[in-house]
Amino acid sequence: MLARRLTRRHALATSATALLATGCRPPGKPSGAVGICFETLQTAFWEASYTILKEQLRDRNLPLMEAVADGDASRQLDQVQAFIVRRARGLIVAAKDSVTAVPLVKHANRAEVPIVFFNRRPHGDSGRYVAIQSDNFSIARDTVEHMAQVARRRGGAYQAMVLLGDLGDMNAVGRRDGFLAAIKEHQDIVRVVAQVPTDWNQEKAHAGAAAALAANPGINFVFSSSDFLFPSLISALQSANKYRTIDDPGHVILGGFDGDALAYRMLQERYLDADGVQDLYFECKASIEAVEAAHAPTEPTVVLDRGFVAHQGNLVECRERMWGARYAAA
Amino acid sequence: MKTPLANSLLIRATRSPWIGLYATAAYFALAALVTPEIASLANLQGLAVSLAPLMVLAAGQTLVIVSGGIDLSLTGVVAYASVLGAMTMTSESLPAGGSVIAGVVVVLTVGAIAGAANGVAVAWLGMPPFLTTLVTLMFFNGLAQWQTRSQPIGMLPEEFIGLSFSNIIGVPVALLLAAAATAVAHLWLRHALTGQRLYAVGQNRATARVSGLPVARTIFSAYVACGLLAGVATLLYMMRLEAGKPDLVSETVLLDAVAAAVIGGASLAGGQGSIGGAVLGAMFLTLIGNSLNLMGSLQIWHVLLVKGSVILIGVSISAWRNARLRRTVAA
Repeated sequence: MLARRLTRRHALATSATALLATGCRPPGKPSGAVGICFETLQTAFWEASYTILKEQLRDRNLPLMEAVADGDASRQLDQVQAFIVRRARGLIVAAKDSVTAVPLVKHANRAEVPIVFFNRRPHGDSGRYVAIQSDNFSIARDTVEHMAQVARRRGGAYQAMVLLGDLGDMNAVGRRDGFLAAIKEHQDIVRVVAQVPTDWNQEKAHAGAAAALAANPGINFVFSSSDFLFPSLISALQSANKYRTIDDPGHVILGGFDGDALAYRMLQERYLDADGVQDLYFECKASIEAVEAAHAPTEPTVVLDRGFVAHQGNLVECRERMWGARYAAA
Repeated sequence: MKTPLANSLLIRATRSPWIGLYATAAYFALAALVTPEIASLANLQGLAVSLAPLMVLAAGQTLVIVSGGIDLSLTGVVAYASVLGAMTMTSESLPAGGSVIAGVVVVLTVGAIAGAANGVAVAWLGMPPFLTTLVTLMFFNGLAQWQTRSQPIGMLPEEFIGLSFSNIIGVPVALLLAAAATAVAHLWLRHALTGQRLYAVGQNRATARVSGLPVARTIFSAYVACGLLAGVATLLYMMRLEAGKPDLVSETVLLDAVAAAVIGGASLAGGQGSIGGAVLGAMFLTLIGNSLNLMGSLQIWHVLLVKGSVILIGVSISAWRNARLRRTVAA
């Protein structure tokens, strides 16, 4: 009994000492750093964004704190709270989704820390933030418009397939709508025969594309809502003996969205007709400038990246602005 | 080289049931030297809100582990309960206040039903706990994805999500709710007859049966209680993340819940463990995550490596301590 009492006394003394030694300190000095908090680095797009952001912060001599949540919304909230506690001068966040971004805005707003959403904006009117976002609709529409022009020049009728993203993601919805808007203008020669849901998942993309190609062997016009789905799409096209270069009469008119290294190589090797490119250098610059503005906006503000379309006719001029070109070279 | 005194203190500390507290206090003091912000009031409040759901999950897991089982379905139950709860709370056919109450009831009911399904399969059908709960994990994850088409459900009522920002005398309401749930679990395990039977069943099921204890009913009650506590944890997660969705929590939360229970003294062989220990284990793990986040310069793989190593050390000490205890009892 005595031993037990002693142990308990030890335990209480230990915890009290730890708390007294350190407990409830006033907040330290502001770190002055910019907190970068990404949900994932699992695709080339996120990896490149993360790297370019860090490089641009270093170029401006801005200290940074970084965290990746590995797909866990709860962990991402913990990380954002930690950066707020460290009194970051601002936060640049790539959120898991538009719904779980909402509490991130609330926490940042309560602490009066500017928060910038990179590439995905929060759902609804959730507070004060800046969102840097690609103009998904316009870029996708212009890319598919270019593909349709190529089809028109080649002549004949076309059966189209589109690989859709996760339709809970506003980006995916914008890209789908851009695709459909462009096709509407060319419905005399292009007919959509397959809309393949992928949920941004490679396996689903492969299974869906393979099934659609089997059900519609005449598919000869394909748009992927993201370049990161290309490996699955290429595999499905190869299985159907449809992955051919532009110079081959059996070529399937191909388009994508993002501007990653694989898309750049496919353009170079003449497998890809057009790619909608997100201007990552602009998006990163705009994110940092929003943080540097040093105060939280009074209302949600969206900065649109108009992007551009890279295609066979302008690849050389586009190379410097296409982020994938840099990674393809590496 | 360790002195005999240091050696003796170390051994005594690892044998102590208060090891979770020692480890937490020591780690807290150490982390405060590196990142003083860890001891700020704002951080402690954030830490408490982050800790709340994990300590409830760990408490539920402890009940099942004490009975000699394990519940691997927790993240699936949280996913499905959150989806149904969010759908109820955002239903336009219910009045504002009523929808929150209905949502809370739905979440707790889903938790209890999931626990009951696990309990029936393990206690009466004799299925292995690990296989049963792995199947229900998949089942509830699948249901949640089917119900929502993988889309998150947000815009939960303000009177519900507002609680995650509320404090009573500086203590977050989320922590108070979690403390109440774990206190009930503690009282049930320590002082109720069924709770005491859990230890007996977990230590030796055959002996418990021969002694006339209702073994199946006791095991069943552990799984139902675990499911109910998973429901409480779901509410705390929903409150904090302001959503219900199939991936509300990641799979690593399951490992955290089991690790917290084991670090807190529960034996995976059954028959040992305490709610207080599980709470301390959860506190320790949350503190590690918090301190690594505060450093702000670590990559995710660093964080996972550090956390994984700490869990491994904690579980090894716990296993060693339990083995010693068993040898002492046998002698």
